[in-house]
Amino acid sequence: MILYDHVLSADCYKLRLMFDLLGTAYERRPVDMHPGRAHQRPGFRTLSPFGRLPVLQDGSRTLWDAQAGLVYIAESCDASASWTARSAEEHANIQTWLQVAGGPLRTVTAARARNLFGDVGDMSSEDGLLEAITILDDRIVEQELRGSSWLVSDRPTIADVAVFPDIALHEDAGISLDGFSGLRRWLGAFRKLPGFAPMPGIASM
Amino acid sequence: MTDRLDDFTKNQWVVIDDEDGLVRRAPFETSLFSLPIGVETGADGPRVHRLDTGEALPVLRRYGYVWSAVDVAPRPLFDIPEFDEGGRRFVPCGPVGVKTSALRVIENFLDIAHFPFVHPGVLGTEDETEVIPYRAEIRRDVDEVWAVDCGFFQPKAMAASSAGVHVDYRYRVAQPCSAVLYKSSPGRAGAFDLIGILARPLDETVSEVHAWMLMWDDTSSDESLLQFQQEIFLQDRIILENQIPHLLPLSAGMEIPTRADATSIAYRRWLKDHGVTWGTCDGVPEVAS
Repeated sequence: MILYDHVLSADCYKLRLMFDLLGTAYERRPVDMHPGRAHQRPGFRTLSPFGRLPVLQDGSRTLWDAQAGLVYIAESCDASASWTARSAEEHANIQTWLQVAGGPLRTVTAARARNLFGDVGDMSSEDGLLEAITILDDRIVEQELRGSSWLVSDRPTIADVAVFPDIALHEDAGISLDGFSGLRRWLGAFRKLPGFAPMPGIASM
Repeated sequence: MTDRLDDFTKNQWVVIDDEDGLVRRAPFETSLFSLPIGVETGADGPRVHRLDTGEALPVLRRYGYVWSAVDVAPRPLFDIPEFDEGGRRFVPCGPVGVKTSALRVIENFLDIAHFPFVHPGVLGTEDETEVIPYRAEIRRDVDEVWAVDCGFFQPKAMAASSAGVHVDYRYRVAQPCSAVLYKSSPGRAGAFDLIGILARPLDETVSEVHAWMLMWDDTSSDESLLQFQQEIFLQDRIILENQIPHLLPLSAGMEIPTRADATSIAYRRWLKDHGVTWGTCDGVPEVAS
């Protein structure tokens, strides 16, 4: 598969991480997202109509949403079928956190873009940023009470991969996790997964 | 905050943006030494003015960048003859915001010892952490800080590198907020690639940093060159933002240097000799104590 990629993009990192965790080889095609904003040019929008990265290509298939990319990589490359759902309930719960990653957590992505790239970045509101972090932290603590370290079920799934980059890059976004011990433990557990590879901006725990 | 601005810093040209980046962003508002400024493009080129007084600030276009200054008659900009030689590719890497003093950014750029720990597998390796003794000097004739005879083993010195090599380095601080690295080129034996860093202090502890490359490389794409450099800078950024205090200490005793920090020592001494206070701990009692 081909990943249209930017090294500093948290959304692209989701897919790089999924490939690394599965030990699957892929081809990276760097796109000049910063400073050139090449992802928003008309030519690139023929691949990605909203002008967003990452874009995943597999043969004649083109996928332009990070969460959809995660689903696709896991469904096609995970022989153990452990990263995707095994029951109707898991399906629904994974879908919930994929939606959080593509919705409320965008506030974290936006805060990071503003700190990194100034007025070049996504200027959407930071309202709800702490609410999103708090809800995630609560979820992890609830899961811990059930004996799991992961967002859904008893093992890491694509839901964890979808959420990990924005939370792990919290310092870039100017967010302290001092008050969120559940998330800190979850980050620590995630980093110990076989195949895990960091990206710049992820603080060592 | 602007009353902390010393004459030496005030007299310098400071980067606003690279030529293409400025056109993409303009018109925009930003800061220069805590002063709010407006940047726009006109028929006669880029214009910069103070938002508080409306006063137009001087503009200079050089080395692919647009520069301005809070002083009406800044010191002449430093000379980089390699820009006029031709043959190398110029790649500006875009602005990145960093919450620390611009002087901390420059000092980090001068530090060789951090390579194996912050850039493992790229600019260094934890198997070879030794910094070979080098010379750091303040050159009075050009009024710059130089470090020469620096060498380091690097697994992937540049985007075009295919294997680890021993790389020769020369560092040059041309202004308090501008530094240039001359690095032996993987693409051309005996020649040097240049990597530069230009920091604009938005505030004393908030900077916008512009890295650029001027290099012999006919094979790498612009995108891969950019992302190589951006990845390295983002590895530095998280270290920089966590380094306390954010203001640079110039007085002895606050931070303990080692032999490998000779360039940093020379840089700090040079700043002190010029009475630089902006971005330093000098005169900030709660930080210095």
